[in-house]
Amino acid sequence: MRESYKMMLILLIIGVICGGLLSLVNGVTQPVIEARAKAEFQEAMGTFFPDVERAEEEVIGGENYYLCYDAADQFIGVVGNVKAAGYGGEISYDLAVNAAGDIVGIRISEHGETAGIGDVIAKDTFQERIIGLNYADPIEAGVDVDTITGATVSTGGMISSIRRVMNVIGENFL
Amino acid sequence: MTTLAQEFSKGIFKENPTFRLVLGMCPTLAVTLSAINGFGMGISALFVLVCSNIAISALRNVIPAKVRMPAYILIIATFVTIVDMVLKAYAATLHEALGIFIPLIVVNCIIMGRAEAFARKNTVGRSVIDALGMGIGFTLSLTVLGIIREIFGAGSIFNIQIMGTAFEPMGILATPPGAFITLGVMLGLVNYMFKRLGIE
Amino acid sequence: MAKKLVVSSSPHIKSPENIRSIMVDVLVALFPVALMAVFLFGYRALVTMIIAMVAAMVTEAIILRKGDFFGDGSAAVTGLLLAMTLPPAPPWWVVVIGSVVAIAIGKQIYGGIGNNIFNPALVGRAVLVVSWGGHVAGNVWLKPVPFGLAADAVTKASPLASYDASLVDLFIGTVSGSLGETSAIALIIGAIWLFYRGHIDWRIPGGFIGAVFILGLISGGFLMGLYHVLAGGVLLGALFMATDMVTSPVTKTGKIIFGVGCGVVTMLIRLYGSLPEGVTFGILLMNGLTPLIDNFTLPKKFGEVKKSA
Repeated sequence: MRESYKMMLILLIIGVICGGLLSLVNGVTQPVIEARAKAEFQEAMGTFFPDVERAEEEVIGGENYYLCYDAADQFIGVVGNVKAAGYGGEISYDLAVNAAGDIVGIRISEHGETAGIGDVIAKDTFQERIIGLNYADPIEAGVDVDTITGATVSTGGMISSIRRVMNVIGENFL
Repeated sequence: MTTLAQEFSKGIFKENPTFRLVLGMCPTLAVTLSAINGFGMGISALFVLVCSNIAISALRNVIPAKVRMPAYILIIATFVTIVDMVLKAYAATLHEALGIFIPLIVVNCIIMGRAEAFARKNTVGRSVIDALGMGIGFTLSLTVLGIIREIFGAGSIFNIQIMGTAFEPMGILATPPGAFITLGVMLGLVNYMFKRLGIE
Repeated sequence: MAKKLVVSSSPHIKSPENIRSIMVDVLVALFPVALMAVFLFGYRALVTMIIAMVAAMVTEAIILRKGDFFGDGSAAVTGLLLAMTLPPAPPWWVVVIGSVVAIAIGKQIYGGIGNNIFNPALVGRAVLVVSWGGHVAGNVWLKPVPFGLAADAVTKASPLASYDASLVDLFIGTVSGSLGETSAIALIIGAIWLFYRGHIDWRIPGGFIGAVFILGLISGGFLMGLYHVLAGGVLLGALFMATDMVTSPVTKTGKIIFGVGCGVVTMLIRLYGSLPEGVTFGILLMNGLTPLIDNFTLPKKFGEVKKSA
């Protein structure tokens, strides 16, 4: 019995020392991590809305929307962290819409589209067709936005997803 | 008795964890997408390895044999968590790239293996040398794999574009099958080279 | 004198057939296919085929360190088969890399001819498709112009992406596609030669084409079944790739399982996958399963009693 108490004691001591060490390191790194996370978020929002001061998060249909406000607490726009159905699985992207309902920015964060074909969605040639469209526009493949030849599924999927996201934003925030 | 120099060099050549012992394959295959990722993974493992080898060899007469595994896990997990927190605070891009594979260093065969096979039987000094050799061997291997996959898969090296605009990256090297192919070819080449050089 | 006293255990079957003669037969069988490719796509098809064959033979000669470039002919066959799976005019370096990968990683790394697990030409193609999809499988198809020396440079989607080609065009080959896959008639003529020489067994192509036809039939009726067989690389894959002696099962039941497996995977990729064509990966996947299939379909040894399960 004495031996097993000794084992438990040693393990306990090691555990306590390890725990102490960890809380020490955590104390140093935690503020840095928090500051970085905040700066990163501001930067991400800032590429779309340079005046952003704070953002409120809203979850609709499992997707995150960030309502951005400027220093005067004026609503300046929404950034949706949303998904589209592509040719090679889901496409994750950020769509930024200003208070007037114009698309001001789009950024593809993750996609599995075929290299050299479907990955045009991440390129300027396609994104330029999107930016500037308004909530009131039809935003429909072949009507006011053209798909890209050879990548019909990828670009078509993006366009219909953007329409859906615009509806969500329009009905909830604008 | 092996000399300290042999103790150090065995981790890089004779018992290179990646190319000779084929240990720690999970991070090797998963993170060697770029040179910097491979290097970061290697350095993280090196740090954990050195710290855990020091702690375990220092405590080798204190920890009872019956509970050595839980004790080792506790010690290794502590250092891994420290690496995780430090990287997250000061090297966020690297932390994001390595992702789950940082916490998974806890179960890296190399670290457990050195604790069990070396540190618990040797002095602190020798254990440090051993850990440095093994860790540097692991880091070098991962960096080499990362360099190859980055040059041909992305046309850059340590994130600096080196190929001209006409170069079209070989996409397969950036995918998991590409990791297996690169590792397999390198395993063959390295062992062929070592044989030629007389390192058995 | 030494040759007069050969002592070895049975069987003592002698045959004039060797690797070289088989490979020459395959090259002969591919001749109508190659001719049709040049006829349809012009001189660039010929250039692509020559680059692929030369690169494959040079790679093999370098790895084996021998001066005889043709050797047993297997590298030439691999190079030509690879070219058959490529579009008419990919950049030259894509063709060269494909051939080098096919020979070095697809074949020699396993120990050379007879030891490779996967069909070398398809390994080369798979690497190219994953790496440079835009050059190998995107909008790279040339519009075929019979007798036109240089095919029209207008690119066209593959019939498997658009589903608009007529069955007659598919049969003759006047559709866009890889060099060797468009013309069903040329492939069938080539395959008849191989059947006649006894190099291929009906079970693999039968299982492959049968599975594709039946799944196509289920997905969209009789004509759709026929379309799936004729369009894309099914005939090329079933007749020339899947039948590769090294990478397919040896038992009769095994061959049928193998063929059906290739067909099913091909159709799953075509109908549900993210690529328009699935022949390459269908065959490669079944190549990997070949040892397992052989193991399960070994015939009972004579005199052995079936074990009770």
